[in-house]
Amino acid sequence: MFKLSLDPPEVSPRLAVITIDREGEKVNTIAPDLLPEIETILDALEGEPGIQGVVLISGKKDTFVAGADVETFAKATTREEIERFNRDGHRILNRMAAAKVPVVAAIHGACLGAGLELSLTCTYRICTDSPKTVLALPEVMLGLFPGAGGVSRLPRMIGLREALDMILTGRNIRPRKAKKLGLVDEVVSVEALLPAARYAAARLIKGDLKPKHEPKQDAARVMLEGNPFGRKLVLRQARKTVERKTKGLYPAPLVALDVIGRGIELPLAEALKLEGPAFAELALGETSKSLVSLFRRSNDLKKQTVDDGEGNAVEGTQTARLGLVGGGFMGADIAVVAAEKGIETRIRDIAGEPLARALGHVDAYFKRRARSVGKANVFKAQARVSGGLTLEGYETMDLIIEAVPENLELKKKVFAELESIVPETTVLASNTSALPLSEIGADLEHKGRFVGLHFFSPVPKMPLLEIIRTEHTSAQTLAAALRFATQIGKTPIIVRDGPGFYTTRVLGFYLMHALEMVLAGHTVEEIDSGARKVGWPVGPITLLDEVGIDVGAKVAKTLGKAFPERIQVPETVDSFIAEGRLGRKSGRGFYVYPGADGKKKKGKKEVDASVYAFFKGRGELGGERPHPEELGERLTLVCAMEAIRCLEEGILASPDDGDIGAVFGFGYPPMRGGPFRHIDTLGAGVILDRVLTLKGRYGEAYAAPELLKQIAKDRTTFAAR
Amino acid sequence: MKSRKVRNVAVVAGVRTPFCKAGGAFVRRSAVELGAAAAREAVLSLGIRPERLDQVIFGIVSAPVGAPNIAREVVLQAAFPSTIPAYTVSRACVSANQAVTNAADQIALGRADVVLAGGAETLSDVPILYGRRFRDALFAASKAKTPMARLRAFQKVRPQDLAPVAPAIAEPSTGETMGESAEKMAKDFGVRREDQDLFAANSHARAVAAWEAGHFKGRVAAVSAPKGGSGLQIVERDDHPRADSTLDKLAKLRPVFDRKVGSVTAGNASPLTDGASAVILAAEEVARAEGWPILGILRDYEYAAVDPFEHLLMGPVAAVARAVDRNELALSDFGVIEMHEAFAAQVLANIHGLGSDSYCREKLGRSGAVGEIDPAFVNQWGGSISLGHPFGATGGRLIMMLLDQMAAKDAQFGLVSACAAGAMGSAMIFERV
Repeated sequence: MFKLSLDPPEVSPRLAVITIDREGEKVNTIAPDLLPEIETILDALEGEPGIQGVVLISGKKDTFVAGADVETFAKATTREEIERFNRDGHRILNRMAAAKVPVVAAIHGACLGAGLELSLTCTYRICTDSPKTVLALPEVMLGLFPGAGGVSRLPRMIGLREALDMILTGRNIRPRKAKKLGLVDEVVSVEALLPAARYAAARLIKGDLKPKHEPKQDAARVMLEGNPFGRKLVLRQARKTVERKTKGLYPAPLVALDVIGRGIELPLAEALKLEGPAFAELALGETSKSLVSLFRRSNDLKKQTVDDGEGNAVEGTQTARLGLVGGGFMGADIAVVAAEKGIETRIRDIAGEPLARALGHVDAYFKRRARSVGKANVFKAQARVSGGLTLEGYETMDLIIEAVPENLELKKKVFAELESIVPETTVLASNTSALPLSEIGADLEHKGRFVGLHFFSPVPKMPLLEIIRTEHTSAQTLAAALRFATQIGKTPIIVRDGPGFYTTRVLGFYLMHALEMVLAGHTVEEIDSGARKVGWPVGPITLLDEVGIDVGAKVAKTLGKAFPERIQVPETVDSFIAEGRLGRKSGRGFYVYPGADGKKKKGKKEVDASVYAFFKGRGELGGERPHPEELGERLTLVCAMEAIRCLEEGILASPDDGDIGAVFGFGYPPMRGGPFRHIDTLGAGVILDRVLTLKGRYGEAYAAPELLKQIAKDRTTFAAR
Repeated sequence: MKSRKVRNVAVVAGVRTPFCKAGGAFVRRSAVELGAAAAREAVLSLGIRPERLDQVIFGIVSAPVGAPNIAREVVLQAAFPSTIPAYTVSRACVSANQAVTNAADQIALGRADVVLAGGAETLSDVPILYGRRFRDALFAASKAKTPMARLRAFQKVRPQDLAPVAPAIAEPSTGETMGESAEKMAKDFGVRREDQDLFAANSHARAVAAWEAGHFKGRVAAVSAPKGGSGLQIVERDDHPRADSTLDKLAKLRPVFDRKVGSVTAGNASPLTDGASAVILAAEEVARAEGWPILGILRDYEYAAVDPFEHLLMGPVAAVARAVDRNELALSDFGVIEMHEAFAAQVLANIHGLGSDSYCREKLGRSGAVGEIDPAFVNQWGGSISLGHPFGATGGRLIMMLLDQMAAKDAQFGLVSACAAGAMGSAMIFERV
């Protein structure tokens, strides 16, 4: 993992270069069994009296250190194991921080979590100006906090408010911002990294360069952070924000705030000691375990392969050229993501105006990107996207994705035209979110090349790609789809064709069951806040407004035909649509949106009270009103039941696909780790009892699938099955 | 060592952007962007991957200050493999012709198999210069070592020195503009105003008809351009051809270069235009092996120059004469003739020169005239007067329109002629096989 190279004795100043290069891995991560190795290196250095300075650099192409090895936490089951690892880490980092000679961190690529904490112990930090260089403390996203000195050292170095922002959000910091924050001392070009680090070390040795170890003291800093009262105020504000955002469902940011709040009033050495126990507590908690499990399983899915039927993995063809048919926002979004990953991308739309909008969307996207990573770094990606009104040149594409409006006949026409011009090797994909794939591809001559690629909006942010296979889709085509997912950095799940596939189907249940709740007399606010209170990022009614009520209803009707006993579209929805009440896009759905009436431009959306006129319940529920949480729990269970059915029917190949698809695809409460893990954690028996009760009260949507009954009966789990 | 024979060169694809009036739809598009659009669309229209190109050559007249070798920038802007070498040529209005003939030579001699040649021009964004005195001061200031010295460099600068120098289209040698020269040619060769206006009116009518008939389908690509305010628009058509250009209207326009007894007007001259074109050439044997369409073989070409102090735009006569003589062809052998229309007066003067025994004897040392051409025979789908004339790009348009008309008429031979500043002319002979 570590290579030590010492300058010859005659060189002055004589430096040691430590190269971090974990064997057999693409990126550097820090695992517990590597800690003794670091100690050996530090011992060796201290035994070399002539060494006047140290440079710490990575041997990997585009990572410095990507963090601690997540497998460690996943495997650790006892508090002792975690605390020991934490203690060892602290001991080594403290040794680094106490080094008698200057240590310069030379950072290029991802410098995350423990990697950044390691660099914080150095005397001086230099990073490259590459777009690959990102500094962050993303621990909170795994239900943890930077417990290897991060929470103690960072506030002291860059200031309390800035440190809180980084630690509580896990946000990525780019080189320019890192310099401004004082997170790094110098930004240089990639080629200059090592020479610049050596030069800095030489100047630090000579005393020409004084390392800066604290933030600039301006008036706000002195008033807010220079005294205990100001610090309390800052921390209280931060706590309020966290509570608003997490609804108390995620313990990590609150624990981090607590550790920071207590530690900041203590000397560093004392503050550091607070980290270990708090960290272990979180690492053993269910939330972190769920989030870490999602992270690991998503990484595993990224590595999945397709079998050729004889036990061999099929090598997928790379997509060098991508053709899109249909230039809606989805098409444009897919284009920018593909182009950023080096894929030549063409957008075809049949009319000038939508094409101009699509290309305008692409332009605007790259303009924004240029502001964060620099113009030169987006030039190539932007050049890779072009648009046209014809399918000329589509015969040169490796993959063609259709993203025209959701109309079966239109889609069939597109594929008939495509098949007439492209060679047999071209993979043809539909981005439909709900139309039956086998029907779209029914008239294709070569059905093996046809596959569904269901993207999620906004594509640059959403991590999932749902790959839908029909009974004809060939292994070669699936392998190409997986390879494409890898190319564009998305986590793929492969599901079978069926009404709504997996994600759209379960999402349909989430949305329509919420409407039934309105029909039953619950208010829109109760339902949305209930869902959010149990961890859904967006309430179902708000989501329906966002998706578009017409779009949602169309999908739900398809599902209603397939599963009439469990899902119905309330008839009132049609009168909604007839009124032009389509959701956010029309300014009015269940909510009224600012600017809809041409008056109020700003402010929050508000529930349109007149919606209740459409529902017999009119928002009035006699007798006891359940807690909103209960509504949230019920919605979650309806989704979980439907997810189990997808597994039962073979739509899903595994609970892992189901969990990742649910959390990344439609926002199933992430701290539950997905529906299957959720049930496994609570126990299938407990859930079965609960849905039996609910079914008695609220009907077939809560009907328990046979598979759940079986698992409850066998007292096992989905994971173990 | 393996010996190589000279190979036949085929045109296999060609696409241009719409041509738009300077200051119009492409006002915020650079020549590089327009060139890249044409290049990319040409490659797509042939259905090949850009990796297949061995070289890219582009022509331009008013090269961008920041990117004098625009061909290379076109390669990068079009996201072609960065390993494709590229260079830029400049020979006034026949720059794209030059790019094409250079490409053809490379292929004929076996140094390349597939070359993309084109041209681009934007007159919406010409470099504006400061006067000499201010430029000298800036230069001196950049060399100065102290702030005081830097200030001193500007001591001699007067307010009037800050006025920009407008780029001229006048000849550096004679000081004469093209329009003035066209005017002179009209007078010397007896080209009447009515004939010029008739020619221009026909040019517009033909261009409009060609668009309506769909003759440009697949040859003019839709190109995006920023529109006023924000967002983009898709430009699909040339914006200059006018369906309402009548003789009456043209007759009412005042002469520009000789206001009293002149005949050259804005209506019978080509407009300042933005646009780009790209043509893909390949060795005939390669094209056949790949199954690419062979639109025509470039049989021969010629560049000629005459004395700019006499007639600036008579170069085509000399070039055409030499090209047909060398190939033992007569003008009547050409089923299609495309002549660049800088001015109606110039086209008519060129036709007059070709058909004049005395001109050909005196100026070309021939025994007699090259041959007669009916002005109505040339440019049957419109020309530079109606379609517009982005200097560096027109050559690509002429070639593709010639080849498409040859196919439509099943003609064996076709001729492209064009005049260029500096009193030069170009001729190209194509054959369909």
